[in-house]
Amino acid sequence: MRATILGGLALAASLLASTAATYADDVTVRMLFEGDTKAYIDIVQKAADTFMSQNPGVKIVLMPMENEALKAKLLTALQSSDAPDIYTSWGGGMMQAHDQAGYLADLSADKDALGKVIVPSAISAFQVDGKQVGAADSFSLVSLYANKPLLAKAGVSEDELKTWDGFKGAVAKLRAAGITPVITGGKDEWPVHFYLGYLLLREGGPTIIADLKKNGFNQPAFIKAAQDLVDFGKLNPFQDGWLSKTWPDSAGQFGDGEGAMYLMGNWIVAQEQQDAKDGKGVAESDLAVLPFPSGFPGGKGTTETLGGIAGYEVNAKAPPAAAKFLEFFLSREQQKPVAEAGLQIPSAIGSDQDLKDPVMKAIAQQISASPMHQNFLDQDLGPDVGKVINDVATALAAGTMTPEDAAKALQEAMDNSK
Amino acid sequence: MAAIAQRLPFSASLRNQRGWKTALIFAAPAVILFTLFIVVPIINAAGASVYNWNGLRAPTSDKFVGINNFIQLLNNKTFQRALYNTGLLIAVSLFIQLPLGLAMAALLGGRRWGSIVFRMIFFLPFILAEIATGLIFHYIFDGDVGIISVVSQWFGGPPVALLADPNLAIIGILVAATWKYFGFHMMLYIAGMQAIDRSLYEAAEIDGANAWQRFIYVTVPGIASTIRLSVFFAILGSLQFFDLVVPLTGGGPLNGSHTIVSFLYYFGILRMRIGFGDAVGVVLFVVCVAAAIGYRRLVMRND
Repeated sequence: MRATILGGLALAASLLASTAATYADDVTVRMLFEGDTKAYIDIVQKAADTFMSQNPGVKIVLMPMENEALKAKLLTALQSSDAPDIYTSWGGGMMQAHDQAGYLADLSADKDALGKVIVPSAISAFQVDGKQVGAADSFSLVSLYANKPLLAKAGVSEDELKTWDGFKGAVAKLRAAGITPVITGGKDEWPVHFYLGYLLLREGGPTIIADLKKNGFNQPAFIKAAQDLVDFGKLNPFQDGWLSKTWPDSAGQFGDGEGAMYLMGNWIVAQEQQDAKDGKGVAESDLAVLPFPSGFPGGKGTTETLGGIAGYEVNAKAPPAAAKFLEFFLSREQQKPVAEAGLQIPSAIGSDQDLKDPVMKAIAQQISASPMHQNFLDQDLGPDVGKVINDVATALAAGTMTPEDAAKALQEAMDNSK
Repeated sequence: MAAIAQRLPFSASLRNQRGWKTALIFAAPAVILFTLFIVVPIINAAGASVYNWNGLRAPTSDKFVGINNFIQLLNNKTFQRALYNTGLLIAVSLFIQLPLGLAMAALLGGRRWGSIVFRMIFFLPFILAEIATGLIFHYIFDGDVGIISVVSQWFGGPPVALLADPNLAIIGILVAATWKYFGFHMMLYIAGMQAIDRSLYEAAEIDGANAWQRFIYVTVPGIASTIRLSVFFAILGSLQFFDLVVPLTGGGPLNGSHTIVSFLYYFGILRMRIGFGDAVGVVLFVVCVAAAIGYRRLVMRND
């Protein structure tokens, strides 16, 4: 019996020693990233291979995951001993929660090195109280996509869509012509929150979200924006059964030409073509990409944009090689295949010149010309208030909630998360 | 099992059996695993339910909120709706799904090959994964391409978008749940019916009973304990219903079709309000334990 125990201990000790020896040789950097498309995973792998060949002794372990699965896994992965060193992040409140729990590295020393490869807004988007905790790798933009032939059928010109009153008038004209004016995905709720996000920006100006976070939701600008959305919903602008349509369902509907317009992020261009019944969807030449209408009397906003700023957070326990790999991966040279394939709009300096797709080029120009690029509200406000804003936006558009109740619900969620 | 059980105190009845020490040793691994994976998480969850905790690292004392989570929970309109929906599920299970399973069992209990084929067909929904079922029904009920909508338009009616109405979407869930689980109950009843003595049927026929009377006076009493077990499964299953809600409606539209567990998932876990979710879990646990113990004490006393 004693011999067995001693033998077992000896075996365990030697195994432990051998693994310790392995760790002493190699620095391992674990990267958990959103890999929905194979093309993107291949690009990341190539960058990792290049980095490893240039930096012997560093081992990069890649872990691609699908969007929703990654969000679910991250909560537990961060608290395990195998926590990823670099992982996909959409910034905003979730990033702040991670920082409060002490999971994020302080990369302030790397700010200058990052500043040489990515644009300033990509650096500032990943700061918490001035502390650099990661970097953005891509931008996306929410625009009004319009099906040109359908607009022509109802006699609506693109100029009319530049103002809010004109947009509402166009909705009425399209209905009269028997065409569904707007498609949206009510079941998933986040496509509807784009309306509330833009209305808040137009009514409240670029500082509105910071104001709401600091001074609460019961503000005139919020009530006005929420009322705008209720009034818009009363025009019956959406497709039948919109509350049961998921984002892919609705993308397919838009691709099939069942509706004239969709307020959505730039990924719709590929998605509507993929999800349409004929696999081809609305051709890019028939697609108008317009900014969200302006013309709100008394509103403080001008041409601010709403969209995503996605990137990577770096774990507090990560080795220095992690930050170095991030700088390497985010550079224009490594992001070139991403830009050329139109997978994302990279944040690297000069990347907008690598974009081949005319729609993507136009979007990149809009983002760089924007006075302020607001991150998606359901990311910026954190996981709890973010979900409530999606709920609230859908309820306002469906006419089942008043602006005052919406402000109350959001304030309650905000108070709970403090 | 109709014999009257001897009512000894638990510990006395255990120690009176021979070899009880060996029994304890054999039971130990299962007890340890049960404690580790069931009891300990329940205690942790109950502990975390008094904190305003987002799930990252351990809860800290400045986040202690006492029974605040529970008060918020009981005042939450969506949770009240979820309780109502779960009650609807239980009612539909007991008054539609189980009678349907019983009727099918009565029809298909025989040995003809047609019965056997249909038994297999009706049991297939039970084998199908919940997520797959939910996705299938999401498209069956779809307002544009769903079969119900298409049929309604054939007859000149309007397109029916059941899942787009906050008040009617729960019906879609009830239909999908009934379709999925009635086959399971049917099989339980068929198994129970195999155990009924054939001579009872012959005696009933000789006494002049028709098919309906044979069913009421021989079959149903014969499978009474199976029916009680089946009701037990139906109630507990309805209380913990979750898998079909996510792909069908996601608890919507406008949070109208949540069940208790889907509410826990969407309002607790996804919103990183783990303490709040734990409060839901504690409430659900208490309800389930009360239902299970109460049911066994009152209804399954002699089984």
